Amino acid sequence: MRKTIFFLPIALVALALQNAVVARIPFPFADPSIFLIIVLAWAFLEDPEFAALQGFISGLLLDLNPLSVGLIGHWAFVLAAVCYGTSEMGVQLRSSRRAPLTLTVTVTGALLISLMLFAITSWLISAEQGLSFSQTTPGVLLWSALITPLLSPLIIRMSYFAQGIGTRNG
Amino acid sequence: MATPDKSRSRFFLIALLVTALIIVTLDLRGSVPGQTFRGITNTVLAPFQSFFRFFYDPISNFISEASNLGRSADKINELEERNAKLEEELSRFKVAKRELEQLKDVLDLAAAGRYMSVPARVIAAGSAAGFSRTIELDVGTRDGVATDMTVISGAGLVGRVISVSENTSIALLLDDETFKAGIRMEASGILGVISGTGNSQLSLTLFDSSSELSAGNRMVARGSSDSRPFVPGVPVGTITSVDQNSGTLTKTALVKPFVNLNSLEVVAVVTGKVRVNPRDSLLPPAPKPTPTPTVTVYITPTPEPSPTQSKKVN
Repeated sequence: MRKTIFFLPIALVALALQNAVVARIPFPFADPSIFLIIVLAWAFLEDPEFAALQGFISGLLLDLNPLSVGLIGHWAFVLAAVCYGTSEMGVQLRSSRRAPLTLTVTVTGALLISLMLFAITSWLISAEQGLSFSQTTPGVLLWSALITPLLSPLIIRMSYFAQGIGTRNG
Repeated sequence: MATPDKSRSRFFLIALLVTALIIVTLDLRGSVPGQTFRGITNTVLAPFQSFFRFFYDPISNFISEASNLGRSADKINELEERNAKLEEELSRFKVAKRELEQLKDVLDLAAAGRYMSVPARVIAAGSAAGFSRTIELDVGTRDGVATDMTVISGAGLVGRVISVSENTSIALLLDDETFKAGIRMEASGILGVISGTGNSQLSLTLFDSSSELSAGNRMVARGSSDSRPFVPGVPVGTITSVDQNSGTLTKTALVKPFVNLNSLEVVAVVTGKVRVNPRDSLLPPAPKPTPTPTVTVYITPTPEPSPTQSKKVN
């Protein structure tokens, strides 16, 4: 409960930051998704059960984002599954999950899987997309690989604070 | 074999996935009041977004102005030290002037087309990771905005409103792949449909494959019944290339929109019904063709000496 209460406002702030600032900067290729980076990195540091719930809540938030035009529940489905898988991987790599390189590689990979899963499920349910997978993915992944190392110390601190454990012992 | 904890977390995941699928199914069937929920999210997000804009806008304006100065770094530093306050005021003034010019352009277009419109600022843009091209405007139902209204800028068509809350609205941009609008070619009046491609160019389809098309041809919105979602006569774009493949029932071409969709700041939403179709009158003046230099050579035949003259000489 403590973790959910702590995570929800951070997710809201990240989404607002994404809408009001990041998406308005003319990045080459495509704009980075700060929101997805934070959600996936956070899931990597959590236990699978909470990661799935956190992914579901984040996905629902993304579905209900006023700038979103997709089906409600679509991102919730994708992020619940991907966050669970990311967390399982984090559990396996417990000793090195806090290393920035591990976090960057995992988050970028999870982002790719999220976008692929979203595109595949869109195709399965015949949901229309305004931008194609090839137009979106390379830019989002590039920026994710560049931005995640910068954000990782902050995300690790916030995640461990929410979990109630010291960052040095994590 | 999975531990009890693992089994429990897997069961929990499956429960969440099933819940998500139920929500998707309900939304597909139209049983979820999506716009109401998105309106609530918008209300929650609005204070955070305003907070970020408060810091981001001055920084963005300053960077924009600094890059336009085109002077040496030393000179800029000197000016910054001496005139920090003055530059800030100047920056604000220039931004205000730019916005005023955009507002004037869009109001001029609306006035020329006799469109009843509400000016609006672009306050947020949809992320590419959301697989859509949308913008958020600072006008809503309070200002008379409703879904399926045309959004224009000073240069022409921007998109259409797809959802509205009390104070804000979301518009789908015309380069989104799901965007479609009926158009009418300038002068010839040939009808067709443009659709977004996710790129900077639009795709044009004409129903009559025998229609004559060429690069440089321009088009306006055809208009919908009751002027929603599109009012007639709004400039759309210029053809840049025509698909010359014959043997198809339709004719296709690529179109460059008049509006730069990546630098929208001030737009207008057409809220009223259009009574008089402005036809082609809102199109910008056609570019004058570059004169091709022609070389004229005058040849004057040299008179050949006649035999009689030759004899006389000899």
